[in-house]
Amino acid sequence: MTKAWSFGQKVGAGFATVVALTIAMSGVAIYALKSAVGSKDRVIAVNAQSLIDAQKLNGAMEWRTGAARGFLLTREDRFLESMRDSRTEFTDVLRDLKLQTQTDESKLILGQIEDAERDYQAAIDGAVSLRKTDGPIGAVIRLFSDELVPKRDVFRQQVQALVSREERLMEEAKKASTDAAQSAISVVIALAVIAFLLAACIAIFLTRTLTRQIGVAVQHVQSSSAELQSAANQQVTGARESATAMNEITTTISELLATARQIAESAQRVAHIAEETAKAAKAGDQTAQKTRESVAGIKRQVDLIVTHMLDLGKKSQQIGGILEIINELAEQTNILAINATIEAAGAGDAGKRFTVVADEIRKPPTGWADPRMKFGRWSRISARQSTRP
Amino acid sequence: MSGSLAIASRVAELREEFDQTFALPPSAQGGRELVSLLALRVAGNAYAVRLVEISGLVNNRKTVPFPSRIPEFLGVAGIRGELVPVYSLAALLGYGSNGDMPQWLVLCGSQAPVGLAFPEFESFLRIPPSDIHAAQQGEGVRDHVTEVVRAGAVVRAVVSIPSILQAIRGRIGRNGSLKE
Repeated sequence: MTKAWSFGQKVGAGFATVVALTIAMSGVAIYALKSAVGSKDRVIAVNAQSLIDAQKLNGAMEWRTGAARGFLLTREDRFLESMRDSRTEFTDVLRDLKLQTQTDESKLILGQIEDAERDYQAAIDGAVSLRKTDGPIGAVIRLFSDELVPKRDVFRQQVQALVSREERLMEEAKKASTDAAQSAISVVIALAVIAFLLAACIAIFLTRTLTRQIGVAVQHVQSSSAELQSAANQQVTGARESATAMNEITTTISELLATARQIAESAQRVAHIAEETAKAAKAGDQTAQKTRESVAGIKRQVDLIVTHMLDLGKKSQQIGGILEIINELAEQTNILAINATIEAAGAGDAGKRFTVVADEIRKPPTGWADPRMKFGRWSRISARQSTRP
Repeated sequence: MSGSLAIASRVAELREEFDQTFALPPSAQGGRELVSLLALRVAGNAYAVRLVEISGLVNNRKTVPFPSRIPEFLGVAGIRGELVPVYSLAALLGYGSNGDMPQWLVLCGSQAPVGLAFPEFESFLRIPPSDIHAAQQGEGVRDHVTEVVRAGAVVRAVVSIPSILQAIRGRIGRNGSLKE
C-alpha cells in the first residue's frame, strides 16, 4: 500500500501526523496550564485566605489584649469600645473560618480557639469589672498575672496553632500545585520529544524515499537522454540522407521540368494535329453515318437470309433422315455384294461373272456417290446449325 | 421442271453404264488376278482377312451370351437358319476384352460355320499379290498372323483363318465338342 502512494501523499501524511501531534501536545499543555492555574487559584483563594483570616484572628486577639491593658491602666472607655470592636472582628473572622473549614481537625482547632477566647474574654471581663469598682490595683495586677495572662497564653497558642496549620496547608497546596504543574511540564516535554522524534523519522523517511525516487528518475532521465541522443544521431543521419535524396529529387525534377517542356511542345503539336484530325473526323462522321445506314440495310438483308437459312436447315434435316435410310440400304447392299463375292469365289470359274456383278453392285456409281455423300454431310451440318439457338 | 429432267437424264445414263458392264467379257474388263481382302480394325489395330478363307460377313446380328469354360467364346447367334458359335477375334489374337459385344461377324467354314466377332469393318480391298509379304519378326506379329499387306499408306496384318479355326478346334478338343 505504501509503495502505491505518491510522494505528495507521503509528504501530506507526514505533515498531517506532525500537525496531529502538535494539536495533541497543545491540548495537553492547555489542560496542564489550566490545572496549574486552578491549583494556584485554589491555593490563593482558600489556603491564603484561611492564613489571612488566621492572622486576622491573631491580630484581633492582640488588639483585644492591648485594649484590655489600656483600660486596666487608664480606665478610659475608649479602650472598652476598642475591645468590643476587636471582639466583633474576631467573631466575624471566626465565623468566616468556620464556613470555609471542611476538615474535622480544623473544626476541632476552631472549637478550641472559641473555647479559649471565651475563657480569655471571661477573665478580661472579671478584671474590667474589678477595675471599674475601684478595687485595689494590686488585686487587679494579680488577677491579670494569675488568670488573664495564662488564659491569654492558651488563647495565643491556639491561634498560633491555627496559623501554623494554615501555613502548613498552604505550603502543601503550593507544593501540590507546583508538582502538578511540573508533571504537566514533563508531559508536554515528553510529547514535544515524541513529536520531534516522529517528525525526524518522517523527515528521514521522506528524505530517503525522495532520494530513491529522484535516483530512479535520474537514471530514467539518463537512459532517456542516451536514447534521445541516439535518436538524434539517427535523425541527423536520416536528415543527411534526406538532404541527399532531396538533391537527387531536385535534379530529377529539373529533368522532369525539361521533359515536361518538351512534352508541352509535343502536346501543342499534337493539339494542332488533333485539330486537323477533328476536321477529318467530321468528314469521317458523315461517311460513318452513311456507312451506318448501309449496315442497317445489310442487317435487314442478313435477317432475311437467316430466315431463309432456317427454313433450308429444316428441309435439310428432313433430307438427312432420308439419306440415313439410303446409307443403311447402301451398307446392306455392300455387305450383300461382299457375301456374293465370297460365294462367287467359292464357285470357282463359274462364279467369275457373278463376281463381276457383285463388284459392280458393291462399287459406288461414278458421279453419284460423291455428290450424294457431300450433300449428306452438308445437309447434316446445316441441320445442326439451324437447330442452334 | 428443268431439275427433274436433268435427274431423269442422269439416271438413264447410269443405268446404261451399269448394263454395259455386263455386256463385256471378264477378260475385257482388265481384270488382273487380284487378292480380295476385308479390311477391319481390332483393338485399334489394322487387320485384314482373305476373302477366300471366310464364308460370309454379317452385321448387326444379335449374339446371345452362352456359359462356357472357353474365355474367347462369346455366345451363339442365329445366321441363315443355323445356330453359329461366336468367338472374339480380339481375344483369339491375344487382346483383352473390354466387355462390349462386337457388331460385326465373319463366318468361317461351310459345314460347321464359326463366327469371329470384331468391332469395326473398314472396307473391301483388292490387292495385287505383290503387295502381300510374309510377316517379319519385330513388326508386332501376334498369333495367327503370318503375312502383312500394304494398302495405300497402311500396313495391315493378315489374319490366318485356318490357323484360328485350328486353335478353336484345339480348345474344343480339350473342353468338349464344337456342337457343345
